[in-house]
Amino acid sequence: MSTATLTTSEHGLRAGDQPIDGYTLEQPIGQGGFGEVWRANAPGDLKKAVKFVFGRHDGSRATRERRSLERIRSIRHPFLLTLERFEIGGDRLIIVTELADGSMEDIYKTHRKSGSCGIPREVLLKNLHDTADGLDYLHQNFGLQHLDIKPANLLMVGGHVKVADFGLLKDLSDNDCSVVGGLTPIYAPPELFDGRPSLHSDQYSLAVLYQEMLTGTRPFSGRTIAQLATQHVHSTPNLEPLSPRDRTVVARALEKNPDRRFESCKEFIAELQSPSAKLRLASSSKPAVVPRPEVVDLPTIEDDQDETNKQAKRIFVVALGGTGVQCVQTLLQTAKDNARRTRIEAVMIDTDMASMPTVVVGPEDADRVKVTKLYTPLRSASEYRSSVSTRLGSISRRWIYNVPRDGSTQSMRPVGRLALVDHGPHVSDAMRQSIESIRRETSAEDIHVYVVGSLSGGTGGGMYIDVVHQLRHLLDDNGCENTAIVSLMSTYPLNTDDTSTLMLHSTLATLIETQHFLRPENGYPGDAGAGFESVPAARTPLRNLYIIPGLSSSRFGCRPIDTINRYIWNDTLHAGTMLQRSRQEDQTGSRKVTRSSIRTVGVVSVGSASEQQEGRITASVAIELLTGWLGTPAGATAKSDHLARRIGRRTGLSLQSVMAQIVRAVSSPTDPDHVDKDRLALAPTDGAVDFIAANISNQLQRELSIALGDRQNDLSKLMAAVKRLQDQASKFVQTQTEQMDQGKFDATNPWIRYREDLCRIAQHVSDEIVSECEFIIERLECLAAIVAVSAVQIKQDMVGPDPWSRMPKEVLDKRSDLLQRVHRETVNEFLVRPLNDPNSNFDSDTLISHLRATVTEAIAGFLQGFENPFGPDPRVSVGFGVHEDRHVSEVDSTATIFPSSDGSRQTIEQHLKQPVEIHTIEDAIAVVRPSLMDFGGGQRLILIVASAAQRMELEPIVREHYQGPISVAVRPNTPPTLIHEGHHIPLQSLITRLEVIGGDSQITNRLASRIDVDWSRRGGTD
Amino acid sequence: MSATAISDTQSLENNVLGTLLSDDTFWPVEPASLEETGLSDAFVDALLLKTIMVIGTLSGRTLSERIGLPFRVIEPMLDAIRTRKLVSHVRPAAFNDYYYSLTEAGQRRAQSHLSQCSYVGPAPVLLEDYVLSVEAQAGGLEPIDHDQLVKALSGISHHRSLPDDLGPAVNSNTGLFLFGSPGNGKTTIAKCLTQCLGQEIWIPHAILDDGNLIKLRDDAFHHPAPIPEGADSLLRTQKWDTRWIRISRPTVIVGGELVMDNLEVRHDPRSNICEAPLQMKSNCGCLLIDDFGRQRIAPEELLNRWIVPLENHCDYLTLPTGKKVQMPFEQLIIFSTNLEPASLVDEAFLRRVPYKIFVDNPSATEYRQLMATVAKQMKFPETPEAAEHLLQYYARTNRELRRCHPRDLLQQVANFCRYRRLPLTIRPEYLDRACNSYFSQL
Repeated sequence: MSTATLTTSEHGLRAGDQPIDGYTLEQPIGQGGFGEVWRANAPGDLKKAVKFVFGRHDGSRATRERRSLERIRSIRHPFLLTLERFEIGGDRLIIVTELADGSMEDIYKTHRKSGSCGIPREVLLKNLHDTADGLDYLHQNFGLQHLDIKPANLLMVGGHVKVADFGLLKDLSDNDCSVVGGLTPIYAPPELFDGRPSLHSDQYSLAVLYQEMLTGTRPFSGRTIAQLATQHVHSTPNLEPLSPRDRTVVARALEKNPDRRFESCKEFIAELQSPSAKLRLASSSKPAVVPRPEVVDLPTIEDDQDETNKQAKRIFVVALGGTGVQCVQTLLQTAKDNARRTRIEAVMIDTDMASMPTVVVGPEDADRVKVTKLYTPLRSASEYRSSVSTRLGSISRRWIYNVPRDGSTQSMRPVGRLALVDHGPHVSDAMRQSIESIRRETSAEDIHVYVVGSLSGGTGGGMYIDVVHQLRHLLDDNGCENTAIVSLMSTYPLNTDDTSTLMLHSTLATLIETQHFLRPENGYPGDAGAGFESVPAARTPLRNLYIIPGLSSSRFGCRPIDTINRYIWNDTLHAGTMLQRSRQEDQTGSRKVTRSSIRTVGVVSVGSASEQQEGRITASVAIELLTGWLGTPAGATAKSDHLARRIGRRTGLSLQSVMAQIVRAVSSPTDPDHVDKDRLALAPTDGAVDFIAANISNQLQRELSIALGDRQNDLSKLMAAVKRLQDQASKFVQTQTEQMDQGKFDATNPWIRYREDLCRIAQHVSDEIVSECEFIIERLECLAAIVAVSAVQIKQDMVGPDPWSRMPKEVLDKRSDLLQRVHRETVNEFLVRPLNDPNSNFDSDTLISHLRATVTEAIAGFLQGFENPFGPDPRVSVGFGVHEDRHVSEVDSTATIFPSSDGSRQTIEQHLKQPVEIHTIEDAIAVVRPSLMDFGGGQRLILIVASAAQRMELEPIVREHYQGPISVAVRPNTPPTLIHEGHHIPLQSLITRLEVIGGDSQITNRLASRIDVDWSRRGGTD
Repeated sequence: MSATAISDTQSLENNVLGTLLSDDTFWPVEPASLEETGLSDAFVDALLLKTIMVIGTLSGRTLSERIGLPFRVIEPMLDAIRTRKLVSHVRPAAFNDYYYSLTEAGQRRAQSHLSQCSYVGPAPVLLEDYVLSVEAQAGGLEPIDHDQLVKALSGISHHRSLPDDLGPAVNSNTGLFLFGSPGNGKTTIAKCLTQCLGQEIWIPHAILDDGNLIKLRDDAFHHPAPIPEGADSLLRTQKWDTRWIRISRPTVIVGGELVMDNLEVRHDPRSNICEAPLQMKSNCGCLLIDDFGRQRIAPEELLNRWIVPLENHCDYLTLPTGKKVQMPFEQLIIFSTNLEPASLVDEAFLRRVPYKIFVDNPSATEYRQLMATVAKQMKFPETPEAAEHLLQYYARTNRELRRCHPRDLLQQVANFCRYRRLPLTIRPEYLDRACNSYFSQL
């Protein structure tokens, strides 16, 4: 900035001017769209800030300023910038205020320049606390909103923030005052764009500002006013840069609906300041703002009896949509190795024919698996026309006339329901026939009925409620009144991902309808058009609805389909009565459940300790073996020296030896000292010379094979050695010529005359050997590649830390013996033979599978030699594998929507950045916890083990990592499994959460599956 | 199989998002292929050639906009007719596109197409698609209620019981008679009714049935409405079939000029284009037959024409090829007359038009209100005594009150003031002058 006296501003102000008597301008300190701010010397030699607002003094901005000044004049607060005087002079409005040291914007810029992403959190919160204090004073005592909160308007005075620039200040009772025109769109709350500021408008701006000052990013990325306006009004803010805890708090302050924000700005800041959710719960003196969902531990269930001896079970599955079909597919796959005594009956309903053929029942299963594929295709709008107001009366015309032309539901659930109603009688018949045929053979108690699918999809979401009720009706009709229908439905991942907005709305619409039918006063009305009967509310099967949210791709956890599959098997075969009692107890329990609630579940099988450990040792040994075979190329050349010399010696691959052989080959058979001229002439084409090369190469291969038998040698070393020999051979002729020239050959030697010829032959042999070596090197390289790929693959499949690290010393001591033994057993098959037989079909897959088998066998024998190979304390040394390694990598992002109330997620959240591997019971417990537990409810952990011994082994470890009660069941021949059940999950919390994420409720409403039910009756009691 | 694929079973490429994101009950989805449009290659080829012929050189994308088919659909067709040497590339255009013009062969071909049917413009939609769209968007599907009707009528002065008379009639979606003395706002009421039938609708520019091209869009009645702005980020990318246009619900008003011909498909033998009849143009909206009984055709004849459509909600039209097609007849049809309905037609006809609503003269109170409103609108200073003066005049001359009088009389006063360069004021002598001129010959 230039010296004060020379400064002349755009509006003709210059230092030294006296716009008001006694106030001398010194230096401009700010300039905005509407005016300028100068530092001025006021009477009494005080420094003041003087703000000029230019424009005709009846200009709207000036008028607005003046009006707000009239209001602010009477307000005094330590955190509101004090107004000293104001007056209108000429075409300008002059405001004198106290002089600030700078603004929040300046502080922010300083921090940015120093390389940080924004203002440190503590400093920022302290400052915003002041701001909130000042704003709340304005709001609560005067009903005024500032409406232009931005960093430049938060001024620093003596280390505290003062709110300045009340240009937009608005009296909330003043209705016809339009505010658009003066606002700063980056920070403007959505309601401001409608010209309807509310009591919580400033809080919104404060939240935007908080994120920007802290992280340097804004929740809305728009660049133009139009973009920003749209985003403020409609889009979900991007809160990614904030910490997970901050996100929920800021998200609430950024609610589109002002009434959903915090009571006051101070409350918002206080929420940010409270160090953790737990602490906040404990310290909140006033009623908690957001009732933290409370998770209650349900009582354990006694393991009553062994169920495995019971009657053969019948599984009846009704599968909806593509997800349902996949569930059936998985179920059938696992049926092969799961239970011989079970019979499965499945009815699959889908609008998409393409998904069905993938489910194939093999001839060996034909007698115990029956799959009915029910294809309910959509038809064209004109085909539906005639039945619009009759058969399809319950479907909104909007959807009937807009049936997608490609015949898919395109994830629109009303369209899915349209297909169902259209094919209602068929669906009903198919289910009835299945039930009847089951009933002919099985008693009602042994039937397990499941409905599987996705609540988010077009077909699944649209059909679920109707199908499940109709199924209830049909079961009742066939004497299965007491057979529960367990619905295991997945949903789309419930996070804020932009691309899934439609799915969120779709899921939300399904949940709202579910909630409707869960209310005691709303029975399912049936559908005359589809031929579905009504079901009274007391019989609703929705109480047994398990919702299993999906995971974002490649996240930590299990796929819903796997969870569903495992739950079905456990419910049918292993722990059926237990799970059934778990469901019933919850209904009849002392806790009266009045709210609509759903259930959720997580199922994870945990491997037994020694199995897992053995598996990992196998992998570890195999890798060690393979890397040993591979060797290290670096330094191999140096190390190969000795080997090369030895091989050279033994194969006769040296100049002298070769020359001797050549001479022998061309000398006359009678007189070895004389050259047979004919043979010499014939030599290159004669087999004799070729034989020399072939012989050498054979020798070479044999030597290599022998060398491989020694664990000291590896492929890299061999390759280096062969290269060395090759090099040697290529220089034969040169060396020989040199030697001849040096007269090492006696001049009287008769051979000297044939020097040229001999050189020629030697060259020939040398060429042969070089190409032979080339070939061998290639093969070695190829082998090395296969070995390397195998090693990498095994390593990828391996989970957990190095299994050797915790082995007792006596075992470790024998480790090299083990390796030696394995090497001996495998080297011939996997290295020598492929090397010698170029035609063998040898690849990494064969290598891995064969190697695994051999190594496993060797290890089993090896470990038998020890009393306690895995160390004295299994809890320390043993890792547990979760069986589905492939689906395991990162934390499910749903965990971040809601900070958990019991903290059990936090251990995982810390690892968000790196892929997380589950290899301990601790992780398994974290994975098995259903993400819906974040919404509160009751939980119960069930551990199923195969034997009492296994129970002894596993139960203590589980108890160590899980504080709540644990129900344990011993079921022979079952894989150890953890089941985490969640009951009474308040549906309303889930709906509220989705409504917040989803935004526009219009869209959800349009996705309602039927129009003859009034969904809008959503009681306040819920 | 990734975990996300579990729930998103369908791709959203061919999106019906429009349906979801807008209030419209019908949303024309952009066709992904020519098959989806239902038009034949030959027809589109001809349309392309004719368009280039009429407009001159133009780029592929402009052409696509003109004929309302997506560029990716017509691009291969353009390639094909270029191979047949009917069009040629003139120069490259932006985004991997070219400017096209006709070759000589192409000009001859286009000429012959033009002589067959001279239609150039957005491609037509199939009749069956149109029929579906009308059924989907027909008024009366979602019945209106008292509040909506009161809101629609809020701009006009009416008798308090009027909405309750009108509401059921509108919901019946059949015909209704509005009768009463002239000048009481029957036409205005009819116009307001269309508003409460709901939001905007989609209509095609033209309809094709077996080679008969029927032009439907008529700028006289169809006023384009903006496409609803994105409510969500999802909507911004949405597309629609541009053979359709979004319009405000049409109100078609016909007065004494109505002849029977207006109610049939009119075929122009020279251009070979058919013009849709009035009832088709007013589908999904409102058809107001104003001054019923003043038409050149006899009322019976006119009513006869409506008997079948009113009963069945469909109309039968004869196309120039002699084919009879069934056309939806989904509209509110209003006969407005200042004659007693019974005096116009006999009972058999009246039975078909079940609702007969009498629009009464305004009461003195209403008249006063009306005066005040109109005066305010015309920027006269507040003069309550003006109404009193006029009411005395009515009593004196034994005249009936009409709703149109305040407006007409004050307009005369205003004109007078302006002529005399006087400030806008209502004075008794001005009013008398206006009355004398307005009611003179009566």
